[in-house]
Amino acid sequence: MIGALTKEDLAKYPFCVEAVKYIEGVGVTLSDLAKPGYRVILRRAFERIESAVKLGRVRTDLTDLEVEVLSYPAALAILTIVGEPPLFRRYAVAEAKRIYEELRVDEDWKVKYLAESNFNWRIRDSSEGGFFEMFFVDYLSVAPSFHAPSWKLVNRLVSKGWVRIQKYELARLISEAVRVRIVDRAKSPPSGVVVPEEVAKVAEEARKLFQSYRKVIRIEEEYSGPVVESAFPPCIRSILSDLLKGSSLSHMARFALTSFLINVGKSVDEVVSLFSLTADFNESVTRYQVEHIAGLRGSRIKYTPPSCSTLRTFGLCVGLEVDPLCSRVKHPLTYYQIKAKGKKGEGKVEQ
Amino acid sequence: MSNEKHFLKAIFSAYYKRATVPPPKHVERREFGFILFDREGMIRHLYFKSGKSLNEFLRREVPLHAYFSSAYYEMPNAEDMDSKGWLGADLVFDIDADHIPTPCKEEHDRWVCLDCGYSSVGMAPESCPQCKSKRLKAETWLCELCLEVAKNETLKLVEDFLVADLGLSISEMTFNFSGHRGYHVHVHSEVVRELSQEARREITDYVRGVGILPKLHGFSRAFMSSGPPDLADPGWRGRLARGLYDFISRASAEELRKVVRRGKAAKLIVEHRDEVLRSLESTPPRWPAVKGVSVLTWSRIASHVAKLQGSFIDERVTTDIKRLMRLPETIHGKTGFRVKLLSFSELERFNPLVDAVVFRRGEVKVHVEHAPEFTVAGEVFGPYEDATLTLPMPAAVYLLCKGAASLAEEG
Repeated sequence: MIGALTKEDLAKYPFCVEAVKYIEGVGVTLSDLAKPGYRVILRRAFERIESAVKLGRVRTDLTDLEVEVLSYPAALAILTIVGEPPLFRRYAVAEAKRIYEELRVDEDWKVKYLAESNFNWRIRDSSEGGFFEMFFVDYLSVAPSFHAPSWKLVNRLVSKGWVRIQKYELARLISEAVRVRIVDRAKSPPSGVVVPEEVAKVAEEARKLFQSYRKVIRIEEEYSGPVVESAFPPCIRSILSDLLKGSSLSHMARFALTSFLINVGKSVDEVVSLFSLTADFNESVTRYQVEHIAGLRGSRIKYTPPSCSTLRTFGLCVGLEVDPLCSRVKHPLTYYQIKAKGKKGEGKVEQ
Repeated sequence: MSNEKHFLKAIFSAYYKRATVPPPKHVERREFGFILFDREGMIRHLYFKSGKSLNEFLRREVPLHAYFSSAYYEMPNAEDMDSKGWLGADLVFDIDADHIPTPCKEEHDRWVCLDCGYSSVGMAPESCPQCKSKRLKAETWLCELCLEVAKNETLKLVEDFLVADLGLSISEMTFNFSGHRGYHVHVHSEVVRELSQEARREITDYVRGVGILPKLHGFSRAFMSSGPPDLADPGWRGRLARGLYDFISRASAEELRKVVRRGKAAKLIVEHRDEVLRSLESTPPRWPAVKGVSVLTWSRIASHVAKLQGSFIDERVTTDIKRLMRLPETIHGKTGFRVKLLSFSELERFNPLVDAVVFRRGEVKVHVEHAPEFTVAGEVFGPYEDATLTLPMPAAVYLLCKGAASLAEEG
């Protein structure tokens, strides 16, 4: 049965168009948030951020539906004031997880409706029942951010433009699209807004919290320490062993290897001496190229290695079906960071 | 400019005078690029507001090669790619015999290492086996078999992948002969225009069967009770089922052994071949009950056939959202053939070596350095080594464009 969204739905899914309309109707501005009557919203907004920072998740709180809906844009406003993109990302992941948990146990029609009304995705019920079908263009607007082989289009049942998906998968796609939306907000912060003192104080509190957890979260932090060769991903190990055997490498393989080694902390000299094993080694040319990739020449940009999907396209990925960690990461450096720390990856790691 | 270039430019000019090259859709949003007879490198970032101004340019400049962007831009003539304002791009596919291994390449293609001089026949390897250099110069020739293979790959791409699986409509595609050894498919449907690079990579992986896991298509123990995929299933699921069926019906014990990596299982499949095929084609299909052959074995065969059932497209072209493509109905300067626009029904019957010939009348006296046996306009020529002879126009233009011949003095 198809119904209309209730206020409880708006509290669970405050990103949806109905919630946005509702919020506009209430007409709360940034300066309103400083007023005593709205403190409770400001508090709940901070709580959302606090929970995201500390636990990596946000829980839905349905005790006061109005506060729950309004605290969502308030939290985003606070994040904008703090202006730390890594914090935005951490928060986005936490909200996305919450939304996913809510959606996967919600009614089918609602999941489908939210996908259609908020992202203009074309979704239909599968004729066989028990599934949804999503138009491939819409599917491909989100699914490539997931790395598990089951999300690859080639591993899906695709017919006449429609991709078969299960309800929990549609829930995952919606939550990912919300995550991207939140992260995108960080890219274009509004300028010239007067921030009331009360709100600025909360923002400062959020900033401090983030700073103190920064080390633990290690968002965006590059791995810095001794180079752990046993933590190299299979693709890099394979290129390296080809090189050591004296086989010639494709341009892409050379670039992937060099940029990877530079990024994990090898010196230009170390990389150049590795290439001296190749038959066509020319020290000055190689040195120039390695320095270029290291950002010491030319555009002065330090290059990062290609992503897993690019490596796959160039036939350099060898780990996907062999190494379980490979199916959870999207980038060779992420693999290295996780492995080198001897820790298991938690959720999605941003690049 | 050499005599040969003068000659070719004169006949190209005659072509552009009488032909009207149809402008691509939304011509005013496309970037154009050209290689001219008398100038090094490519001139690009050009813009035409109409088909009329495009044709005026072609008549005036008579390019050796002409290209247009698959992308639509706010300002196609901005010199910096980032300030062009990307609005979207057609979904394009390039099927080129250069990327498809064909047996006849040994007969008509050769390559030489620019560093050590080593040379051999067939498809050029990644690097020189003697000195490992990558500076290899390939000499490739058009041949009917290669072109036929490329055409079949194109038909497979369009019918099986683009129409049946992705639901795209033939009426929203254009097809053309590349002018050399393959075909281009441009999908200009509005729905594909804004596909990201990542999304296009997913599509190329889909079409090529890259990253496919048979266990996600029913080839796993978890699906033992529900039976194997049906031959009539859509998408890759059915394609794997049909591939498995075909492979088992014709594979030798030796081929099977290589694929399933188990001698005993291969032998059992061959012994029970009819029974296996019957189970797979029954409705609903059943896993063949051959004791000693597991789902893993069927899954290995499926992985193997996936490689054969994909379409050989050049993935770099499809994933590049700012690619310059050859402009249909212009002349390919390396062959003298017309980059002929084709309807889908024409494509099936199209023979480029006859139908894409532009210059038909007259004869030219040429000196041929080297040419393998080749066919143009229904006539077989060569092989030639260091020969001076008078050739009909189509053969002469082809060799001159390839740089394999020079004009000989009359007399």
